[in-house]
Amino acid sequence: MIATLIQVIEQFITVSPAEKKLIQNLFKEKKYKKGDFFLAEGETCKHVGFITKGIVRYYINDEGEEKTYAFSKENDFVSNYESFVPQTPSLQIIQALEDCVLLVISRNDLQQFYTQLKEGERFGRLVIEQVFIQTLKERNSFYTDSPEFRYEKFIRQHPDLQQRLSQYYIASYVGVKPQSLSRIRKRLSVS
Amino acid sequence: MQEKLIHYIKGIITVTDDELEKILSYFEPQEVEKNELLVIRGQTSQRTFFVGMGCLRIFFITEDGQEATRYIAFENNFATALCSFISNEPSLEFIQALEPTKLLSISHKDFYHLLEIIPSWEKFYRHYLENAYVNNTNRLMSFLTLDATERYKQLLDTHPKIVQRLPNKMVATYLNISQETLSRLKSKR
Repeated sequence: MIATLIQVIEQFITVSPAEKKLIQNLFKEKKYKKGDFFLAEGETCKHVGFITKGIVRYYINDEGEEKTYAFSKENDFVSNYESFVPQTPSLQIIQALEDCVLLVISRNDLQQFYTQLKEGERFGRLVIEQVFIQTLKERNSFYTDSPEFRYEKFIRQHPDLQQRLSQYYIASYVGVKPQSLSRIRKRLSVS
Repeated sequence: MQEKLIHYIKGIITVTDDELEKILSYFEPQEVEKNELLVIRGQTSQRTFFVGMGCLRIFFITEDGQEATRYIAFENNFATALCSFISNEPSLEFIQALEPTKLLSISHKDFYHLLEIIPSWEKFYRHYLENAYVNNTNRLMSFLTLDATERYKQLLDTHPKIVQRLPNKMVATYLNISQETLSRLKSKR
Protein backbone atom coordinates (compact mmCIF):
# COMPACT_ATOMS: atom_id res chain seq x y z
CA MET A 1 0.00 0.00 0.00
CA ILE A 2 2.82 2.34 0.91
CA ALA A 3 4.39 1.14 -2.36
CA THR A 4 1.52 2.75 -4.28
CA LEU A 5 1.99 6.01 -2.41
CA ILE A 6 5.70 5.99 -3.21
CA GLN A 7 4.95 5.30 -6.87
CA VAL A 8 2.66 8.33 -6.97
CA ILE A 9 5.30 10.50 -5.27
CA GLU A 10 7.87 9.23 -7.78
CA GLN A 11 5.74 10.59 -10.60
CA PHE A 12 6.80 14.02 -9.31
CA ILE A 13 10.28 13.58 -7.81
CA THR A 14 13.17 11.13 -7.41
CA VAL A 15 13.15 9.25 -4.10
CA SER A 16 16.19 7.39 -2.65
CA PRO A 17 15.84 4.08 -0.73
CA ALA A 18 16.54 5.84 2.59
CA GLU A 19 13.86 8.41 1.78
CA LYS A 20 11.38 5.62 1.05
CA LYS A 21 11.97 4.31 4.57
CA LEU A 22 11.30 7.78 5.95
CA ILE A 23 8.07 8.10 3.98
CA GLN A 24 6.98 4.75 5.39
CA ASN A 25 7.50 6.08 8.92
CA LEU A 26 5.80 9.43 8.35
CA PHE A 27 2.50 8.10 6.94
CA LYS A 28 0.15 6.10 9.22
CA GLU A 29 -2.71 3.89 8.11
CA LYS A 30 -6.16 5.04 9.19
CA LYS A 31 -9.57 3.51 8.47
CA TYR A 32 -12.83 5.40 8.01
CA LYS A 33 -16.29 3.82 7.95
CA LYS A 34 -18.78 4.92 5.33
CA GLY A 35 -20.25 8.24 6.55
CA ASP A 36 -17.26 9.11 8.77
CA PHE A 37 -15.64 12.53 8.42
CA PHE A 38 -12.02 13.06 7.41
CA LEU A 39 -12.73 16.73 8.15
CA ALA A 40 -15.90 17.89 9.91
CA GLU A 41 -17.45 21.36 9.61
CA GLY A 42 -15.67 23.84 11.87
CA GLU A 43 -12.76 21.49 12.53
CA THR A 44 -9.19 22.59 11.68
CA CYS A 45 -7.49 20.37 9.10
CA LYS A 46 -4.33 18.91 10.63
CA HIS A 47 -3.62 16.03 8.24
CA VAL A 48 -3.10 15.22 4.60
CA GLY A 49 -4.36 11.82 3.47
CA PHE A 50 -3.63 9.48 0.58
CA ILE A 51 -6.51 7.17 -0.36
CA THR A 52 -5.58 3.52 -0.82
CA LYS A 53 -9.19 2.33 -0.80
CA GLY A 54 -12.54 4.11 -1.06
CA ILE A 55 -14.07 7.42 -2.11
CA VAL A 56 -14.55 10.70 -0.26
CA ARG A 57 -16.56 13.74 -1.20
CA TYR A 58 -15.97 17.42 -0.50
CA TYR A 59 -19.00 19.55 0.25
CA ILE A 60 -20.25 22.66 2.00
CA ASN A 61 -23.36 23.12 4.04
CA ASP A 62 -25.07 26.15 2.51
CA GLU A 63 -27.89 27.04 4.90
CA GLY A 64 -28.94 23.44 5.25
CA GLU A 65 -28.36 22.47 1.64
CA GLU A 66 -25.38 20.23 0.96
CA LYS A 67 -23.34 21.28 -2.06
CA THR A 68 -20.88 18.66 -3.29
CA TYR A 69 -18.04 20.11 -5.31
CA ALA A 70 -15.48 17.31 -5.65
CA PHE A 71 -14.71 13.63 -5.16
CA SER A 72 -11.41 11.86 -4.50
CA LYS A 73 -10.70 8.16 -4.88
CA GLU A 74 -7.86 5.62 -4.80
CA ASN A 75 -4.39 7.16 -5.37
CA ASP A 76 -5.62 10.72 -4.75
CA PHE A 77 -4.44 12.99 -1.96
CA VAL A 78 -7.03 14.47 0.40
CA SER A 79 -6.80 17.72 2.35
CA ASN A 80 -8.27 21.18 2.63
CA TYR A 81 -5.55 23.77 1.98
CA GLU A 82 -7.83 26.64 3.09
CA SER A 83 -7.89 25.20 6.58
CA PHE A 84 -4.56 23.34 6.61
CA VAL A 85 -2.29 26.24 5.56
CA PRO A 86 -3.54 29.04 7.86
CA GLN A 87 -4.79 26.53 10.50
CA THR A 88 -8.28 28.00 10.61
CA PRO A 89 -11.62 26.18 11.08
CA SER A 90 -12.91 24.57 7.90
CA LEU A 91 -16.15 25.53 6.16
CA GLN A 92 -15.69 22.56 3.90
CA ILE A 93 -16.47 19.02 4.90
CA ILE A 94 -14.71 15.86 3.73
CA GLN A 95 -16.69 12.65 4.20
CA ALA A 96 -16.11 8.96 3.39
CA LEU A 97 -18.74 7.66 0.94
CA GLU A 98 -17.47 4.06 1.26
CA ASP A 99 -15.39 2.31 3.89
CA CYS A 100 -12.00 3.92 3.28
CA VAL A 101 -8.36 3.19 4.03
CA LEU A 102 -6.06 6.21 4.05
CA LEU A 103 -2.39 6.81 4.70
CA VAL A 104 -2.29 10.04 6.69
CA ILE A 105 0.53 12.40 7.55
CA SER A 106 0.33 15.07 10.26
CA ARG A 107 1.22 18.71 9.71
CA ASN A 108 4.48 18.34 11.66
CA ASP A 109 5.47 15.19 9.81
CA LEU A 110 4.74 16.90 6.50
CA GLN A 111 7.29 19.57 7.47
CA GLN A 112 9.74 16.66 8.03
CA PHE A 113 8.88 15.36 4.58
CA TYR A 114 9.58 18.78 3.04
CA THR A 115 12.89 19.27 4.82
CA GLN A 116 14.28 15.70 5.02
CA LEU A 117 13.66 14.59 1.44
CA LYS A 118 16.09 16.12 -0.99
CA GLU A 119 13.24 17.06 -3.35
CA GLY A 120 10.54 17.29 -0.67
CA GLU A 121 9.89 21.00 -1.21
CA ARG A 122 9.73 20.46 -4.95
CA PHE A 123 7.07 17.79 -4.44
CA GLY A 124 4.99 20.22 -2.36
CA ARG A 125 5.35 22.93 -5.00
CA LEU A 126 4.42 20.65 -7.91
CA VAL A 127 1.32 19.42 -6.07
CA ILE A 128 0.04 22.92 -5.25
CA GLU A 129 0.70 24.04 -8.86
CA GLN A 130 -1.47 21.20 -10.08
CA VAL A 131 -4.20 21.79 -7.50
CA PHE A 132 -4.24 25.51 -8.31
CA ILE A 133 -4.82 25.01 -12.03
CA GLN A 134 -7.28 22.14 -11.59
CA THR A 135 -9.39 24.00 -9.05
CA LEU A 136 -9.61 27.17 -11.12
CA LYS A 137 -10.66 25.20 -14.20
CA GLU A 138 -13.22 23.34 -12.14
CA ARG A 139 -14.57 26.63 -10.85
CA ASN A 140 -14.89 28.14 -14.29
CA SER A 141 -16.77 25.05 -15.38
CA PHE A 142 -19.24 25.50 -12.53
CA TYR A 143 -20.04 29.02 -13.70
CA THR A 144 -19.97 28.55 -17.44
CA ASP A 145 -20.94 24.94 -18.29
CA SER A 146 -24.51 23.63 -18.45
CA PRO A 147 -25.54 20.77 -16.11
CA GLU A 148 -25.70 18.45 -19.16
CA PHE A 149 -22.13 19.30 -20.09
CA ARG A 150 -20.93 18.94 -16.48
CA TYR A 151 -22.58 15.53 -16.26
CA GLU A 152 -21.05 14.34 -19.55
CA LYS A 153 -17.63 15.57 -18.44
CA PHE A 154 -18.00 13.85 -15.09
CA ILE A 155 -18.83 10.53 -16.80
CA ARG A 156 -15.88 10.95 -19.15
CA GLN A 157 -13.44 11.75 -16.38
CA HIS A 158 -14.72 9.23 -13.82
CA PRO A 159 -16.42 6.34 -15.67
CA ASP A 160 -15.94 4.12 -12.59
CA LEU A 161 -17.44 6.60 -10.12
CA GLN A 162 -20.80 6.59 -11.87
CA GLN A 163 -21.27 3.01 -10.66
CA ARG A 164 -19.92 3.63 -7.18
CA LEU A 165 -21.76 6.82 -6.22
CA SER A 166 -25.43 7.36 -5.47
CA GLN A 167 -27.33 9.62 -7.89
CA TYR A 168 -27.89 12.03 -5.02
CA TYR A 169 -24.18 12.93 -4.81
CA ILE A 170 -23.72 13.10 -8.56
CA ALA A 171 -26.72 15.45 -8.85
CA SER A 172 -25.30 17.65 -6.12
CA TYR A 173 -21.97 17.81 -7.99
CA VAL A 174 -23.61 18.59 -11.33
CA GLY A 175 -25.60 21.30 -9.55
CA VAL A 176 -29.16 20.01 -10.06
CA LYS A 177 -31.86 18.15 -8.12
CA PRO A 178 -31.81 14.31 -8.42
CA GLN A 179 -35.04 14.40 -10.53
CA SER A 180 -33.40 16.74 -13.04
CA LEU A 181 -30.38 14.44 -13.22
CA SER A 182 -32.57 11.48 -14.24
CA ARG A 183 -34.06 13.67 -16.96
CA ILE A 184 -30.57 14.60 -18.16
CA ARG A 185 -29.57 10.92 -18.13
CA LYS A 186 -32.66 9.97 -20.13
CA ARG A 187 -32.05 12.68 -22.72
CA LEU A 188 -28.43 11.64 -23.12
CA SER A 189 -29.26 7.92 -23.46
CA VAL A 190 -31.79 8.73 -26.21
CA SER A 191 -29.48 10.92 -28.26
CA MET B 1 13.00 48.95 -3.11
CA GLN B 2 15.42 46.01 -3.13
CA GLU B 3 15.52 46.20 0.66
CA LYS B 4 11.78 45.54 0.74
CA LEU B 5 12.12 42.48 -1.47
CA ILE B 6 15.00 41.14 0.63
CA HIS B 7 12.91 41.58 3.75
CA TYR B 8 9.99 39.78 2.11
CA ILE B 9 12.13 36.83 0.96
CA LYS B 10 13.89 36.48 4.32
CA GLY B 11 10.52 36.44 6.04
CA ILE B 12 9.80 33.15 4.27
CA ILE B 13 13.08 31.33 3.64
CA THR B 14 16.68 31.22 4.86
CA VAL B 15 19.19 32.09 2.14
CA THR B 16 22.95 32.66 2.06
CA ASP B 17 24.26 36.03 0.88
CA ASP B 18 25.44 34.43 -2.37
CA GLU B 19 22.02 32.94 -3.02
CA LEU B 20 20.30 36.22 -2.25
CA GLU B 21 22.58 38.07 -4.66
CA LYS B 22 21.80 35.50 -7.33
CA ILE B 23 18.06 35.80 -6.74
CA LEU B 24 18.08 39.61 -6.84
CA SER B 25 20.15 39.64 -10.03
CA TYR B 26 17.14 38.27 -11.95
CA PHE B 27 14.72 40.95 -10.76
CA GLU B 28 14.45 44.06 -12.92
CA PRO B 29 13.18 47.43 -11.73
CA GLN B 30 10.28 48.97 -13.63
CA GLU B 31 8.06 52.02 -13.25
CA VAL B 32 4.52 52.24 -14.55
CA GLU B 33 1.99 55.06 -14.81
CA LYS B 34 -1.41 55.02 -13.19
CA ASN B 35 -3.88 52.91 -15.26
CA GLU B 36 -1.10 51.30 -17.32
CA LEU B 37 -1.63 47.62 -18.15
CA LEU B 38 1.22 45.22 -17.40
CA VAL B 39 -0.58 42.08 -18.56
CA ILE B 40 -3.47 41.75 -20.97
CA ARG B 41 -5.78 38.85 -21.74
CA GLY B 42 -4.30 36.34 -24.18
CA GLN B 43 -0.72 37.18 -23.25
CA THR B 44 1.80 34.41 -22.58
CA SER B 45 5.37 34.56 -21.19
CA GLN B 46 4.37 35.96 -17.82
CA ARG B 47 6.39 37.83 -15.25
CA THR B 48 5.73 38.03 -11.54
CA PHE B 49 5.67 41.56 -10.06
CA PHE B 50 6.79 42.70 -6.62
CA VAL B 51 5.27 46.04 -5.64
CA GLY B 52 7.80 48.38 -4.01
CA MET B 53 5.55 51.43 -4.12
CA GLY B 54 2.04 51.91 -5.45
CA CYS B 55 -0.64 49.39 -6.24
CA LEU B 56 -1.55 46.72 -8.82
CA ARG B 57 -4.82 44.99 -9.43
CA ILE B 58 -5.55 41.69 -11.17
CA PHE B 59 -8.91 41.52 -12.93
CA PHE B 60 -10.84 39.68 -15.59
CA ILE B 61 -13.87 40.41 -17.74
CA THR B 62 -16.98 38.44 -16.87
CA GLU B 63 -19.32 36.94 -19.47
CA ASP B 64 -21.65 39.94 -19.28
CA GLY B 65 -18.75 42.30 -19.90
CA GLN B 66 -18.15 43.54 -16.34
CA GLU B 67 -14.70 43.91 -14.79
CA ALA B 68 -14.21 41.67 -11.76
CA THR B 69 -11.17 42.32 -9.57
CA ARG B 70 -9.57 39.15 -8.20
CA TYR B 71 -6.68 40.60 -6.25
CA ILE B 72 -5.15 43.89 -5.14
CA ALA B 73 -1.44 44.13 -4.31
CA PHE B 74 -0.15 47.11 -2.35
CA GLU B 75 3.49 47.65 -1.28
CA ASN B 76 5.44 44.53 -0.27
CA ASN B 77 3.25 42.09 -2.14
CA PHE B 78 3.60 40.02 -5.28
CA ALA B 79 1.07 40.05 -8.11
CA THR B 80 1.04 37.41 -10.87
CA ALA B 81 -1.38 36.09 -13.48
CA LEU B 82 -0.76 32.77 -11.75
CA CYS B 83 -2.56 30.23 -13.93
CA SER B 84 -0.75 31.52 -16.98
CA PHE B 85 2.53 31.83 -15.05
CA ILE B 86 2.34 28.17 -14.00
CA SER B 87 0.99 26.65 -17.21
CA ASN B 88 2.37 29.00 -19.89
CA GLU B 89 -1.12 29.11 -21.38
CA PRO B 90 -2.53 32.51 -22.48
CA SER B 91 -3.68 34.66 -19.56
CA LEU B 92 -7.39 35.12 -18.90
CA GLU B 93 -6.51 38.00 -16.58
CA PHE B 94 -5.28 41.57 -16.83
CA ILE B 95 -2.85 43.31 -14.45
CA GLN B 96 -3.12 47.08 -14.13
CA ALA B 97 -1.45 49.79 -12.04
CA LEU B 98 -3.98 51.77 -9.98
CA GLU B 99 -1.39 54.35 -8.87
CA PRO B 100 2.03 55.38 -10.20
CA THR B 101 3.87 52.18 -9.27
CA LYS B 102 7.48 51.06 -8.77
CA LEU B 103 8.10 47.37 -9.29
CA LEU B 104 10.68 44.64 -9.36
CA SER B 105 9.79 41.88 -11.78
CA ILE B 106 11.17 38.52 -12.85
CA SER B 107 10.34 36.41 -15.91
CA HIS B 108 8.82 32.94 -15.75
CA LYS B 109 12.00 31.52 -17.26
CA ASP B 110 14.31 33.11 -14.68
CA PHE B 111 11.96 32.29 -11.81
CA TYR B 112 11.96 28.60 -12.80
CA HIS B 113 15.73 28.73 -13.33
CA LEU B 114 16.05 29.79 -9.68
CA LEU B 115 14.09 26.66 -8.72
CA GLU B 116 16.86 24.62 -10.36
CA ILE B 117 19.82 26.37 -8.76
CA ILE B 118 18.54 27.45 -5.31
CA PRO B 119 16.87 24.64 -3.32
CA SER B 120 15.09 26.93 -0.85
CA TRP B 121 13.43 28.81 -3.73
CA GLU B 122 11.11 25.78 -3.97
CA LYS B 123 9.86 26.55 -0.46
CA PHE B 124 9.44 30.23 -1.32
CA TYR B 125 7.31 29.36 -4.34
CA ARG B 126 5.30 26.68 -2.51
CA HIS B 127 4.56 29.18 0.21
CA TYR B 128 3.49 31.80 -2.34
CA LEU B 129 1.24 29.39 -4.26
CA GLU B 130 -0.38 27.91 -1.16
CA ASN B 131 -1.28 31.33 0.18
CA ALA B 132 -2.52 32.57 -3.18
CA TYR B 133 -4.66 29.46 -3.46
CA VAL B 134 -6.12 29.95 0.01
CA ASN B 135 -6.84 33.64 -0.68
CA ASN B 136 -8.57 32.88 -3.95
CA THR B 137 -10.66 30.10 -2.54
CA ASN B 138 -11.72 32.15 0.47
CA ARG B 139 -12.74 34.98 -1.83
CA LEU B 140 -14.77 32.65 -3.95
CA MET B 141 -16.40 31.20 -0.83
CA SER B 142 -17.33 34.70 0.28
CA PHE B 143 -19.23 35.21 -3.00
CA LEU B 144 -21.11 31.96 -2.47
CA THR B 145 -21.92 32.34 1.19
CA LEU B 146 -22.03 36.08 2.06
CA ASP B 147 -24.34 38.85 0.86
CA ALA B 148 -23.10 42.32 -0.19
CA THR B 149 -23.33 43.82 3.31
CA GLU B 150 -21.43 40.93 4.87
CA ARG B 151 -18.77 41.04 2.15
CA TYR B 152 -18.25 44.78 2.69
CA LYS B 153 -17.96 44.26 6.44
CA GLN B 154 -15.47 41.43 5.92
CA LEU B 155 -13.42 43.63 3.59
CA LEU B 156 -13.27 46.39 6.22
CA ASP B 157 -12.10 43.85 8.80
CA THR B 158 -9.48 42.12 6.67
CA HIS B 159 -8.29 44.68 4.07
CA PRO B 160 -9.36 48.18 5.23
CA LYS B 161 -6.67 49.72 3.01
CA ILE B 162 -8.62 48.72 -0.11
CA VAL B 163 -11.58 50.83 1.01
CA GLN B 164 -9.47 53.72 2.34
CA ARG B 165 -7.08 54.06 -0.55
CA LEU B 166 -8.95 53.10 -3.71
CA PRO B 167 -11.79 54.81 -5.60
CA ASN B 168 -15.32 53.44 -5.12
CA LYS B 169 -15.37 52.06 -8.63
CA MET B 170 -12.45 49.71 -7.83
CA VAL B 171 -13.85 48.67 -4.46
CA ALA B 172 -17.16 47.84 -6.18
CA THR B 173 -15.45 45.60 -8.77
CA TYR B 174 -13.59 43.89 -5.90
CA LEU B 175 -16.83 43.15 -4.05
CA ASN B 176 -18.67 42.38 -7.28
CA ILE B 177 -21.43 44.89 -6.53
CA SER B 178 -22.59 48.09 -8.25
CA GLN B 179 -21.20 51.48 -7.22
CA GLU B 180 -24.69 52.50 -6.07
CA THR B 181 -24.89 49.53 -3.71
CA LEU B 182 -21.43 50.35 -2.38
CA SER B 183 -22.40 53.99 -1.67
CA ARG B 184 -25.48 52.76 0.19
CA LEU B 185 -23.37 50.39 2.28
CA LYS B 186 -20.83 53.12 3.04
CA SER B 187 -23.46 55.64 4.14
CA LYS B 188 -25.12 53.10 6.44
CA ARG B 189 -22.03 52.88 8.64
